[in-house]
Amino acid sequence: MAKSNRYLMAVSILIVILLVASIVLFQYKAYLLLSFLLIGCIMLPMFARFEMKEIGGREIVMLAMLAAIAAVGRVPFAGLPSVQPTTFVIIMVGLVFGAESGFLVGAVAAIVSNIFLGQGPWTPWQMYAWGMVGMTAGLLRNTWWMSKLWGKCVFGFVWGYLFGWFMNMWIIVGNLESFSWEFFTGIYVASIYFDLAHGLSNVFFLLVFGVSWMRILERFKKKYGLFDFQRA
Amino acid sequence: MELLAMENVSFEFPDENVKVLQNIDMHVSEGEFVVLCGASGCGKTTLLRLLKKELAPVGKRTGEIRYGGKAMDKWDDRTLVEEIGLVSQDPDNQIVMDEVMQEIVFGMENLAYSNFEMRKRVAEMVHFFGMENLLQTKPSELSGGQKQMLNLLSVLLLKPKVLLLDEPTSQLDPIAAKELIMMLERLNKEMGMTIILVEHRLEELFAVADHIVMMEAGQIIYEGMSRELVHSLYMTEDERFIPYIPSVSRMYMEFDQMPVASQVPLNVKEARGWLSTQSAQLSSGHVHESTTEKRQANPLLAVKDVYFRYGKKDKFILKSFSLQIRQGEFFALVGGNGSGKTTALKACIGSLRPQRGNITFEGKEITKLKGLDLAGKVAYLPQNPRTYFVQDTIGKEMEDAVQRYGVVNGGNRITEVLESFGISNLRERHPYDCSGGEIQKAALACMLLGNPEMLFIDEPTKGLDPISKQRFAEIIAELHKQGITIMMVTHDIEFAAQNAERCAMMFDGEITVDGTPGQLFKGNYFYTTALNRATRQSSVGEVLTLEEARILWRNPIVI
Amino acid sequence: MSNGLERMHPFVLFLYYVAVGVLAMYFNHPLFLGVGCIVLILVNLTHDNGKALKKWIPMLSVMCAVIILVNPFINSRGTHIFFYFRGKQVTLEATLYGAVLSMSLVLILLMFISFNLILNGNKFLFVFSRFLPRTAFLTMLAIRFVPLLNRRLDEIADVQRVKGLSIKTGTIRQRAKSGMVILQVLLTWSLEEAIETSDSMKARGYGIGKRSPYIPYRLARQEVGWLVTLAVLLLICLVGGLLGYGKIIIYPQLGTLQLYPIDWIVFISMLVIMAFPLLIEGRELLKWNYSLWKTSHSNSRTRT
Repeated sequence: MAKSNRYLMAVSILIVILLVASIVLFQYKAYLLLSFLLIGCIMLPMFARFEMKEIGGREIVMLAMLAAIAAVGRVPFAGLPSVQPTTFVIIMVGLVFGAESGFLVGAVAAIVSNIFLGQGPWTPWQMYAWGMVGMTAGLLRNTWWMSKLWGKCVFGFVWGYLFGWFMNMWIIVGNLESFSWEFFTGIYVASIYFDLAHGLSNVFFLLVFGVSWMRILERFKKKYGLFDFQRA
Repeated sequence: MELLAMENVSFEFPDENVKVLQNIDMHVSEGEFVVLCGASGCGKTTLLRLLKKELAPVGKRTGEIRYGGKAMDKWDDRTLVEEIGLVSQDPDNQIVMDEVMQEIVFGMENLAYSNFEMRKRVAEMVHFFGMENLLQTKPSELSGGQKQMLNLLSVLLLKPKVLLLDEPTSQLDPIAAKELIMMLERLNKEMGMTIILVEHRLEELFAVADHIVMMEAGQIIYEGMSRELVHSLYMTEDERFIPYIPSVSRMYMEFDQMPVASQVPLNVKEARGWLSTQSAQLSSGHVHESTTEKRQANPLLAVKDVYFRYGKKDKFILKSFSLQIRQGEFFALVGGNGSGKTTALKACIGSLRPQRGNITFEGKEITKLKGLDLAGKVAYLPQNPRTYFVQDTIGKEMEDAVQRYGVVNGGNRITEVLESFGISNLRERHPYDCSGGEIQKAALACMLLGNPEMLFIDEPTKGLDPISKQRFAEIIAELHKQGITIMMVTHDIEFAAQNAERCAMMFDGEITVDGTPGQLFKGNYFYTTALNRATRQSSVGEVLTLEEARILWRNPIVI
Repeated sequence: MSNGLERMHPFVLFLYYVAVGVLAMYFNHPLFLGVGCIVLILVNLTHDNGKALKKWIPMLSVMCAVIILVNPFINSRGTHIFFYFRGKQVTLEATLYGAVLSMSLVLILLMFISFNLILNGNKFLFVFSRFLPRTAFLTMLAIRFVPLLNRRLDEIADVQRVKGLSIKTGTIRQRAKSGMVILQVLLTWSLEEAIETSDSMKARGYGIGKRSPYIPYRLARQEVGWLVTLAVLLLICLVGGLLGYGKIIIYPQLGTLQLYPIDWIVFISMLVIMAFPLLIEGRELLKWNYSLWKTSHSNSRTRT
């Protein structure tokens, strides 16, 4: 626990330094550039932790496989606009394998799906957003409400919106200098349908498949003695 | 010199009181080529893995395993990784990197070789394998055979002294399998590599192996040199292992008046030599053509002049592909890799929409059938039957099927079907904890609940041991007798020749020949059975299978 | 067409794309950004005659149009007023800001189109693996699984289709459910198969100690030269930018667009950075033509 506190401290100090530096150095307000640096600084320590950790080949293969499944999960849904199971898969991973695995699978799934759909300035934002989906699922998995089905559904629904809102941010941040509330609400109103679809499909998947997916992942965890080291 | 030895080794998995291996004694000398076989679940894979320390299964082991005269546990990990290499079954699963070159060097990177050493070894071995122009390709662009060669190459770059192979050819087509075996033979003969190979398909291996080990229920039942082994198996008439013997050797053992161990033929050449001395003893009969007149039944599946390609710029995979399958027929489609037979099957089950031509089932376009119109009449047994299972036990999957097909009195029907397949013990089992033969039967059992009219089968013999293969053939024959129409796509000519009543060969996107197995395969150079190659133009009469030989040579039908 | 740029060391390419990306977000002078866009379009043309670019043109133009047209109307900052629209001022500043913003975004996207063609998959991971080897390896594995999973998805869909499960027909609910059933089979199947993958890694010594990566690319002298050049030019641009060169003040009141001598230095540095692929390709072309000319020359000489 002490370790993760120190890590959080380090990250927050780093962010403050970056913000100060940005105000001093970037008089001309390159906010988008700054936002990438920030996202990089938040994610880097998590990857660094993964680099340092004692972890077996089997775990790495599992994480890679789950990330790949999350990324190709869109394929069977190609005919259904705005229904994608990636978020659902990442939530499941977070719930069963914990916060760190959830984060890694989310972030890597974003890179992988963009290698086939095209990388762009949205890649880091997506990495962060999906990473956070997995991480929060892992962090909250032991709370009393998360163990209830309705709790998971609320969680999935909320993330449908949060994800969309977060992805809108890169448009807003890129345009921060001409920020106005109309602009802000305009963007969010425009995305409301997509976010609703995202949230609802998360809920649908969690309701219908949540139990069976958890069971499948738990079976693997047990069968192959995976991630025993990771309790927190 | 002895390189590997197992002395009185027993093994059991935790929480299970069954000994997977019992008092195994095995000695392998340097430069030996050992083949290990036995039905699935006999413990041969466990035995092989005990020899690869990093992958040794967790459990209770007694007895001693020695490598190079020293106990296995006393060696350091690094040396063992380098000196004992392993290639396993599935070509795809073993590849980790996204580029051939990176995959090749993967093992060397793990062992932290210098870049100089890596380049040197790569240059040498890649040349030996003739893979120079594949270095920059992605693994997904390789064929199954190339992938398995890549896996072998990547292991060989660590310069192992012993090569362990766990059913390396089970997922390959016959040509790729033969190439791999030839490569192993070269490694053994030219480099003196010690090889221990676990395999089901032994047709060519008896001629190559120095030593053959046969296992059942965790014990070594027979072992010895190929010829002596064949001889002693026939002397003891052990039905468990006779199916493993190559057909040419079986022919000799069954038809020679005084079979001698040292004379047992192991390949076509030797068999032909033996046959040429036999014309006097074996009565030659005329070819007995099955004279079942063409059935007058209506065509169930009709394919008319179908053209198909994946993309607008790709070449056509199916070109004027036409086919009619009548009610009650057992039809097998054979053909080489890339001949389009898999695509043809996909088109027949309506997974692909042809660009030209049409495919009808009972007069209706197959791609337009959906729901119960399709599921209630057609069943499809894929190459990998695991893809059929959604539920986590076979019983639940069957209940699902009962619901889907609206079977009355479902519970009883399930029990009935399970019993008729002899798999009642699998009811509570997870589909992924079953062997290849079991899962195939389980999937068929689920399908039969829907009383299908037609059954499509894709490569059913891939990865099956000879015994399971025989059982499967019996089941299929029984279904055929019950009136189910069957279309099977396969590489396995032996299996097609033995079981189907009508065969067709696919070449370059269309059916080139269509007839009885006899008409189709007799006289071919390559696309035929080993027995046919041995008996072609011999004085005793050409045969395709052992059964045919038994009928023809012993009880000649004189017209 | 194999081009000279693709043969460059990934480090050089990576630095190039980072530099272009940073500068695209850093400067806001319309001339800088406009010229940048033109150069990047030319760069894209040299890759594949603009095939990849063509696919993006609709999206790029719609995005530009929306930003340029919408920004002045939802944003009324600025003092140079064009006219009033529904009681709100439409200003020169907001219009210009829209234009600058869209050019900046277009430049970034053009950079990524080129990036996806040149520094794709393995090369990018090579750079990445220098900093985060295990993460890069994890990503590489995941990428390697994708074609495999797609093939398995097809197989599963075929089997389940014959069982009566369709992802093409039915209500959205049914289709989503069928899709998920297929994905679930993929999950169970692929996790099972992945065990063999990790065994194959272990069998070849993965995890036995520190890995030493095979380095397929060697930094040539010339490439080191390029690295240094690009780095120096990027530094000039960054320092120049800090001092205010290459940037204009838009809000609250539009500053001058005039360029001072130092602006030109910064501009030329940026131009050289962005045109780096053109220089490489141009050099290749010249060399090629020269050698052609030389051989034809010597041929004719031997003939006479």
